[in-house]
Amino acid sequence: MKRAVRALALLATTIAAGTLFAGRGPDRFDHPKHATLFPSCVSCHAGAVDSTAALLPVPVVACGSCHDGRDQRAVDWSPREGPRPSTLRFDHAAHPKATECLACHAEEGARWMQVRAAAPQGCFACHGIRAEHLAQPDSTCAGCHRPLAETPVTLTAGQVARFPAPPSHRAAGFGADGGHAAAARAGDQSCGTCHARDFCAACHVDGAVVPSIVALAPDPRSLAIPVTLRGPGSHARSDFERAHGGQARASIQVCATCHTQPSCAACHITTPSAAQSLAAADPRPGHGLTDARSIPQSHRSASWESGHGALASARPQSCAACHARSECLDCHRSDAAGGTGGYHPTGFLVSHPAQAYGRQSSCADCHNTQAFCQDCHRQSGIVASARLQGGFHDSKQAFSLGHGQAARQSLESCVSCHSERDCLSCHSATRGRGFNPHGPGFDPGRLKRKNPGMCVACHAPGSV
Amino acid sequence: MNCRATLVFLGTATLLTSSAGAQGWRVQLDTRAQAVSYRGWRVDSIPVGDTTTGTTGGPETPDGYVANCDGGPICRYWRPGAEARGVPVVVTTDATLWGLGLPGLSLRARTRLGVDLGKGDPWYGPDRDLELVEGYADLDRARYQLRAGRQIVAGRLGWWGIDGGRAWFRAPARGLEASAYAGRGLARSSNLTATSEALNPLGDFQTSRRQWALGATGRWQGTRGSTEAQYHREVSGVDGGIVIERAALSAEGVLSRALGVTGGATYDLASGLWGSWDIGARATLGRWHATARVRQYRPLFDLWSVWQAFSPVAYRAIDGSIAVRAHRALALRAIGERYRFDDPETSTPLVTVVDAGWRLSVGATWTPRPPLTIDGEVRREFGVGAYANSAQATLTWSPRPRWVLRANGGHLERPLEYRHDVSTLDWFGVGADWRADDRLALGLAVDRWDESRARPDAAAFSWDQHRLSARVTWLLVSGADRLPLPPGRPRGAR
Repeated sequence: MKRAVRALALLATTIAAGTLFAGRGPDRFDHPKHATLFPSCVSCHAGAVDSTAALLPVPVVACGSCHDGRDQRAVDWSPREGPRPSTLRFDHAAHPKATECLACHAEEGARWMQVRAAAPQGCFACHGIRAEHLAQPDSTCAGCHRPLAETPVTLTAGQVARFPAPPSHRAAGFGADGGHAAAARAGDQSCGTCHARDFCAACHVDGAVVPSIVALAPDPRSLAIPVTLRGPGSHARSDFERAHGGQARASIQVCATCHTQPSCAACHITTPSAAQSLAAADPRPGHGLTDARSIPQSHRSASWESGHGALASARPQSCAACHARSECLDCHRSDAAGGTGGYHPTGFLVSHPAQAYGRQSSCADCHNTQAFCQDCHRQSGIVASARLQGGFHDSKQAFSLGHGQAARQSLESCVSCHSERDCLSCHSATRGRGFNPHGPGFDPGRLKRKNPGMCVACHAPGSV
Repeated sequence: MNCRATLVFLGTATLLTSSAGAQGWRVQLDTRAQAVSYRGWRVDSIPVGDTTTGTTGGPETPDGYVANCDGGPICRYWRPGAEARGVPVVVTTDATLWGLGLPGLSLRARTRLGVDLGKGDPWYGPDRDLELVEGYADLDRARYQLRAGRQIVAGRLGWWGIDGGRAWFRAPARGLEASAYAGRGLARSSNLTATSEALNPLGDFQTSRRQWALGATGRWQGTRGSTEAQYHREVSGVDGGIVIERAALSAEGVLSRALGVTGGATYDLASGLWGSWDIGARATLGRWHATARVRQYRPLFDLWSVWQAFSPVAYRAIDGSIAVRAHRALALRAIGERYRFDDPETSTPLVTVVDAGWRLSVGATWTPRPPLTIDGEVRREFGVGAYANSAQATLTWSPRPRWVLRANGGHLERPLEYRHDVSTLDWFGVGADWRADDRLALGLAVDRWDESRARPDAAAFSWDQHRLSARVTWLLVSGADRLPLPPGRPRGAR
């Protein structure tokens, strides 16, 4: 076991070291080391003053005379092909007055051949620009830089990813319509210095129809710049759930910046009419845009369970936006085998007589009491059949004398066990004992007009 | 009939699909199984002369069962029945097909299959194995919608199924929508016809022919409120008598971002009585949320039966709730209601009418860490006929996004007013839900019930048991409306 652990540790160390040092080597010419050999810059960099010559030396010619493998070790170095991988527009030939190389490529007072890459401040010094490089207005980038899309492919995506971001990009409101979007709409091509159409389209799902984005050339390297899409402030407001529909109908083009139809469909079961004008879905994921379902704030209130019915009745389309079953059956008609987590809480089987009697919620809203209740009660033996049977209500020896109260107050509970024949054995004018069951609110005339057949269940035809 | 209708619909859907080349489909299979035992009652009788005076002061059988003699020569009593075990399994299938060549056209079917894998009778639909809950063709356009087949009409009046057609007309710019429907009706809150034997196994007045149902709705929605009106009427297929005729109105108003009101009422045109109504307000102020409501509840019976002539009375209640997020991790709530029945006009010198009750519950939800939630609630109530007091707690932990583990326990007492029976239940259960992906979810739960039926006689018995439940939900879908749906996708992004 220990051997295996050691072997794995050794292997991991080897891989890490290999990864760390792989590809390392002298990739730059050591100018100071050769300070005594070269009296001038142009002996190697003739291209700086002669546009027909190469800017970088040919190793075999320039180095091979010394590094011949005998007096000096041979070197394996080759100059880059093509122009420098940069967005900079600088061209030595276009700067004929800049004959003093060290003015740009060395710090003041530096020793011979103690050179460096030209810094932007050097450019600014000559061109009379006093501000710091990135503090320049964003619109000035294009003065020195060419669009990313026109930059040689030798500029890798990794280098693009390391482009410094101007401070303006971190300013409040830059991500909003009045920030970067206003600048882009102004026709300023400076955005293209670092960005291309691909970058914009990463967030702008309607980029294909936005003129300022279409005007940019495509370049996938622009996607290397990391960006996080943040939702507008309106999305965080407490009333956003309710208000967003009206906002969408009023200005769907604003929504269209970030959202396609599936954004709406993430929550809305049906397709809202406003969503019809949004672009269709694109199968690829975007930067940071997520449309997650969340429980509306209203659903979290303590009384939601008992009070949502009124809201659902008044505004069912709101329910239908998220609930596939606008008829509510998924919750309100849960399966008997559903176990916990359904509409009724754990232990409801035991407590249901109380809740049914108290009518905190209406059983009949979801259950057909005659079928649903009697099915189970019959199997449990709690059923009256053929004739009225006493005994079940055993805590009241004279229950039959007081059952009228129970019947009037919770008739739905009674009919979960009793059928009409049980009651009509006494409460019928034709086959019972003639006890009148009619009570407060009974309107015989209306009921007779509506359904005369109901009356003859107890009364002889023509007697009422 | 249900089975035949299901097969016809599925066959038609299959044919249409194959010929039209549906572009999308969605099938959700939801299977739930539960292993339970239950124990009912068995009625028995004894001559009054054979009874003795028991501990309750009333007659008892020699072996200790409280008997009810009601002045007759024979007393009846109820002894515990045999213990039965059942394994009810319910499979719900919800299928939708769209992209059938006509924009907006879709087909939908929802069926439920219930069987018992045990030897006991499951309480779910023992007289029917397969139900067609819905099965219709739907054409949905911006301005109108047409639907034909078995469908559900729902609203404040409740829900009914009809075999017929419905049409909606919309004016979205004005927030208006109107609909009308007609067809053969199903029994209320049921997938069965009114003629089904399973519907009313004990009734004398079951109709021999199905009823006709028709109705209409009108709706308006604005930025500050919405309202809906509904009318529903059912006419007997035998004699043309009105079985149901009701109307309802619902409304909601948003007074401000923090304050809203809701209300509505039902009116039974058949009996001339107001049914249930309510009017309430809700307010949200910072971390506080409160509601208040006044309401009435009155059961309304279809005129298939004679029950409406027995004059069920209404009760009126005032309820309220208040909730506060006391801390980032702690939310507290309290709900209360006081109600009082109308006078049932049944008082006699021998009967004292109790007509009022109350309910109160307080609870708290503590989320010490987002994946862990502990919720507890204590409920007390006193009511007419029966009521329940309980205390319970649930712990929910989601160690990984796809896993939800749950433990719950509680204590419940249920005294009955009209029967010697104070049922006491202590339960504890654990469960787990696992969502394999967006399409497959599994659930498993085990509960232990320790229940005693506290009675002063021999009919007291223990009902302790373990309950096992399992659930599998499998969503098969072509992609377009898969849940959760994919987020908005920028073009050209990686």
